[in-house]
Order: sequence, then C-alpha cells, then structure tokens
Amino acid sequence: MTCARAAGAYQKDWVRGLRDTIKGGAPYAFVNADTPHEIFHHMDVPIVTNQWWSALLAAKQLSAHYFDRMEARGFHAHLPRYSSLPLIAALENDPERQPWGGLPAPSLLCARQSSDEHQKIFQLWSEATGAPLHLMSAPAVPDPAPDWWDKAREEWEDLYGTDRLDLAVAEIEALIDALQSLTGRSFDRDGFATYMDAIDRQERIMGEVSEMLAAAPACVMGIAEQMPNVMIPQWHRGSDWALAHAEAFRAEVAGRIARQEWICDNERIRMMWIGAGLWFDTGFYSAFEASHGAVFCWSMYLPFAADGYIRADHGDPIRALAARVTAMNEQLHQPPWVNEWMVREARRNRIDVALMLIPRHDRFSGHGSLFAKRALEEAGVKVIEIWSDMVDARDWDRAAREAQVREVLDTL
Amino acid sequence: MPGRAADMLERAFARGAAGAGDGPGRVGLFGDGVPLALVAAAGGVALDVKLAPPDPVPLHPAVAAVVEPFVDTFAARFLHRLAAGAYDGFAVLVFARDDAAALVAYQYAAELRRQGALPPGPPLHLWNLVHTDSAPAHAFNMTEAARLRAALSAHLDATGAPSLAEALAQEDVRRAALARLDAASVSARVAHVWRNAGRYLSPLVHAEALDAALAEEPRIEGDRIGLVGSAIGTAALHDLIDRPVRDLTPTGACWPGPAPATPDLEAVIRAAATDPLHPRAAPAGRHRAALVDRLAGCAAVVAQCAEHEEAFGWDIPPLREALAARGIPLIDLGLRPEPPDEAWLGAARARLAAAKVPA
Repeated sequence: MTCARAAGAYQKDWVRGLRDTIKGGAPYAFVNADTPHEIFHHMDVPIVTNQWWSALLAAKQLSAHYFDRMEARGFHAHLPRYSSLPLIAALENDPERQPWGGLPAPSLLCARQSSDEHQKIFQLWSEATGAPLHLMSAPAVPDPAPDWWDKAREEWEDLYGTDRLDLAVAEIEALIDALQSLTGRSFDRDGFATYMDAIDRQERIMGEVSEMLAAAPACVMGIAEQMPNVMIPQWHRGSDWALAHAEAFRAEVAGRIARQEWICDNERIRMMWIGAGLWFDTGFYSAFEASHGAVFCWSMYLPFAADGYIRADHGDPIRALAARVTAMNEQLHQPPWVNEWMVREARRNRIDVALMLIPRHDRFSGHGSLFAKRALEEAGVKVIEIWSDMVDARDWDRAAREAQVREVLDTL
Repeated sequence: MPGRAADMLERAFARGAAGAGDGPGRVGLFGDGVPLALVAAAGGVALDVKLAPPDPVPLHPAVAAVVEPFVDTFAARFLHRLAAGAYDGFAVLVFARDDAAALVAYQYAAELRRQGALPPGPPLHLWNLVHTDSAPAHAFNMTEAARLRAALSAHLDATGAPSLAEALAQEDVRRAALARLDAASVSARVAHVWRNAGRYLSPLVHAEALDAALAEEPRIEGDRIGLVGSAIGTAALHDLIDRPVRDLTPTGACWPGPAPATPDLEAVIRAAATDPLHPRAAPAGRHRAALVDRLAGCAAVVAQCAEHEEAFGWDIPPLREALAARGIPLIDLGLRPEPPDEAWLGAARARLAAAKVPA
C-alpha cells in the first residue's frame, strides 16, 4: 500500500470515529483552517475544519446545488464560495443529502478575520446553531518582509510584530479559557510544549521531502498523491500517527527516487499548481502527462508545511503558535509574500509552467495573483491563468480548460 | 447670498481632494475609521482619497498589469491616480486596514513602489484598528495609535495646530451640524453630497456651510427611506430616491465616526473600535443589530452592494427578515458598478418604482 492510500485509509477510519463521536452528542468545534487547531487537539476537542468540509462537499459534487440555493436565499452571486459552502449546506438543513448525514450543531465556532466574509459567515453559523463564536483578529503587517520564509522559523517576533503577536497570544489564551469552560478540563502547558515540538519535527520531515522532490531528476510523486500525504497528517499534526506517516512518506519518496520510479516516462515539462486544490476535479492534475510529458510536481501544501508551520518556540510555545497562525493565510495570497515565495519555489523546483487558479469570488484568495504571475514570468515561467473556483463546479468546463492548457504546452 | 453655502458644498464634493489646493500638510485617508481629530492635532489637513470624483483616470501600465478585474473599483482608481502623481505633495497617505479596499490599495501601492514600478511619492501608512472592545484589542489599538501619531509627526508640522481636545471639539461642532442635516427632511441627494463634502473641508468650515445651506434648503415630503450596503461615490443612486433618507452606508451616517466619551486619545480609540456602525464591527451581529435599530420608522430600506463586495451581502437575507418582522420592506438593488452606469440606474429605477419608492 502506498503512503497516500494508507493516509486515506487512516482518514476514513478517523472520520468514521469522529462522525460517531459527534453524532453521539460529544462537543466538537467547527473552525476555519487558519485558526490555532493545536489548542483544540491538545485539549482533545474534536474539530471539523470549514475548508476541509467544503472540499468534501465539492468532491461529492454538491457545490452546484448549494450555490444555486445560496442565490435563491437572497445571498448575492459574487459572495465568496470556499468558506461559505458548509454554511449554505447547514442552512438548507437537508442532512440526507450531505456526507455523514450532515453535521450536528457544533459547540463552538472559531474563525480569524483575515478576510471580511469570515466573521459574517461564522456569525450566521452562530445564529443558526446557537454555538458561541470565538473570533480572532487579523490586523495586517504594515511592512511585510519579502523573504518571509527565511525569517519565519526563528526571527518571527520581528517579522510579524510584537504588538500583533501580543494580541494573537491574548486571543489564543481566551480560546483556551473557552475550551476549559466547555470541557471542564485544564490546559496542560508543559504537555503543550512537547506537543508543539512534535509538530515541529513533523513539519521538518515534510521540508526534507519537499527538498528531495525538488532535487530529484524527475517527478516521482504528482500533486494528487502529495496532497493526502501532506494534508491528512497536517489535520492530525503532532500526533504519533502523523509523525510516523511523515517518516513513511519520506522513506517512500526516497525509495522511488533511488529506484528512479518517475511518474511520467517522458517528463518534459514541470508544472506547478498555484492556489487551493481543484476539489471537484482532482483528475485534472494528470491530464497532460501522456500527451505532453507535463507533470504537476508542485502544489503549495508540501512546501508550506515547512515554511508556514515551523516556528522555534524560544521557550514560549503559545507565542510560537501565535506566530504560526497570525499570517498563515496572508502569506499565501498577499504581495510581496506570495509573489516572492512563488518565484523561490519555481526556481527550486525547476518549474516550466504554472497554472494559476484565480477565483473571481474569493477575493482574498484571488488578490495578489497578477503580482505572482508577473514575477513568475520575469523568472522565465510560463503562466496559465485558470479563472475558476476551488469548490464551485458550475462554471468549470473541463474540456475547455484542457484545451487552454494544451495550446500552451504545444508550444513548448 | 442664497445658495452660496450649498454651492460650496456641491463644489467641494465634486472636486474631491483635487479641490483642496496644494498646500502643505495634506493627509490622504483611504477608508473610514481614522479619527480625524488625530490628523488635525498633528497639524494635518485630512482629505479623502478613496471617493475620488469619477472623471476619467489615466491608466498606468504598471498598475493595470497587477490589478485583477475583481479588485475594488475605488482601490483600482486610487492606484492609477497614485501612479499619475495625483497625490504628489501630500504629506502622507493613511489606509484603514478594516476597509477591505484600503488593505488592497495599500498592499498593491507598497509592492509597486518596492518593485520600482511606481515613482517615489508620499509615504504610505497602514492604520490597524481592531473593532472589538476587549482589553488586548484596546492595548493593540493604542500601540497602533502611537504608531500613527509618530508617522504623522514625522511628516507634519504641528506648529499652530489645535490640541487634541480642541480638534475633538471642532469635530463635535461638525457632528452636531450633521445631526441637524440627518434630522432635516432634505432629499437623499442633498444629504449625500453635503455630508461627504466634509471629507474635503475642515470641520468648522463644513459645519458652518451645512447650517447655512440647511437654512435655505426647501424641505421635502414623504416618509424616510433607509439605505444600506457599500460605500457610494456619486449621487446617482440618491437621485433616484426622491425622499429623505437614513443612509447607513459607509458614506452615510457612519462618517465621520462616533464621538468619544471624553476628549482624550484613549476615549477616541475606544469609540472608534466599538462603533457598531463600522462594517467590520465584531461580532458581526452587532453591526446588523445597529442597522435594524437605526432603521426603525423607515418606510422601506434600499440595499445595494459594490460589484465585488464580499461581506455585507451575507447580512442582506437576515436583515430583510429582521426588517420584515417590523413591517419594513427591504428592496435589494443587487450588485452595483461604481459609478453606476445607465443600465444599472434604469433597472434600479424600475425596481424602486415597482416597490413604490418613491410612492
């Protein structure tokens, strides 16, 4: 069994257990991806991540139905999709249509105000379910260092700013208080330091894998296989299983490189997929291997495991956690962070072509795209703009998008 | 002279920041939430740079290359104007992070500068204000206020400037005059233009002009119409509503922001942070509840959103429901180009007529 299959099997079992747990009435939290999951994990409070559930709904081909319903309910057509699909499904209250027979009401909601819609969406969740909403602030960094990945691991105090980190720490402490009240359990601070150290080790392994894949003569693992190997352990970060999986993943990649098990015998073109996953059509990632020797060897999830997560604790693991989450999403979308990181990654991975997913209606994700495009082009990378959405399948035309990409690949 | 004050307000609104001359100490503000008295007390002249008049903007290729089609229209227009040198000579430009358009305008401008794609110009300052009333948020906001004051001091000459208390008192005079404007049964257009003319006028000049103009302005009949949604740059939509309005958009009663309880910096920051009418007031339910409360007594409420708006649209269905429970219909005019074009205005006119607004 490959590591990706093993991860998928683990996740399936875990999901079944989670479903049974929360359907049985145990308290759980519904949270955004850029919130401090570590606090929930360490306090043994199950979480369902908004963007993961959104991707799951999209993968089940339910997004078209729910977004039609969103507009029928009077929400306008240009509102963001990725973070709102689960809300619309919840408001529809048709559990038989949804995975797991739908989600029960959460006991707590948590979101960062990184994008304007988050507090609005979670407010509606709160009103619909009665669950208390824990909001985290997201003030912007006024002087963002372009080479953030170099500074984020050790020099994060200067990178993100003491006042922003003070605020984030206070808000994490308030979250801890809320979870202690919810569970009746105390937060184990010594144990948390150990837990954070385990996460750090896991992300360093992911960083090693990222380096191995970048340095390999050809691609041994496409992004459709990379993603579960990275993201499933990421949802369980710091657990024994996640660390063991990261090690197995590293061994599998090393073995494939040693055995020269390239995924495409005729690799000619190395491609990066920029943006969130195309969750309703992940088969798109292998559409150009046979015809053009073009492989998707890069998506953000693997390299971001190291650059976005490793934060030296400097004796204060809560503050290190604040440094991890305080600009987590922003680093992937805002200039100069996104454009500089994309160029660094493209060079490191010898990228020829970048496919850039630009969602029209998730502006937080879409902003900065053209800065990144121009920077990549100046670095010699051919950029193909894919104007679509990560979860809304209604305007996705697979044949047209393939044709768009082939037209470019034919010239290379 | 009859109509002179009204003419002055009309001219100030029409010319925007460009009408303020080229004197020293001009501070451009993009987005709401920056306490105006802080600027005045530092020796600055606050001028809005977001709601620029909708005259043609020369497109700068470096800006056009990076501005996605869904970037807020105000932000895109600002960037082209910045590239064309429209704000050369300003002492500093301040961007309110909690205005989504302002964050993009700041980040794109700063990055274009960093890359050398735009010539040097006035310094850019990002103003963070967390719209929550927790103690850690207040501590953060006070740090940001100190940073703003330091930036203003570095680029302005405070000689002869009013003290903070004096500047706040002047804003109170303006606020009182605006309250009289809000209470008067003047047309939607007059209310919009006269209020937002103040974005380019000192508080005392604005207040004096408002009172003088109000004294001569004929009152109109009809129940009040509520107006909610995105910031509006022109009076074209207001022209369609031939009624007094209760305008709760960011270009309505939200500006110039609430009065502090006491004339000191702590109170100024606390008042701004807890203003329930700010679109990013947290938790979000506070904002909607404040809207419902202030829309009481309106005959109907008109909602509209900018084309790529992503926040207020979530409030429209629950706002419609809350208003309906009070017997107030909500008329959603949908997504609006900025400035609104003839096609949109025609459709809006038809929607309003069908809903009997004005009756």
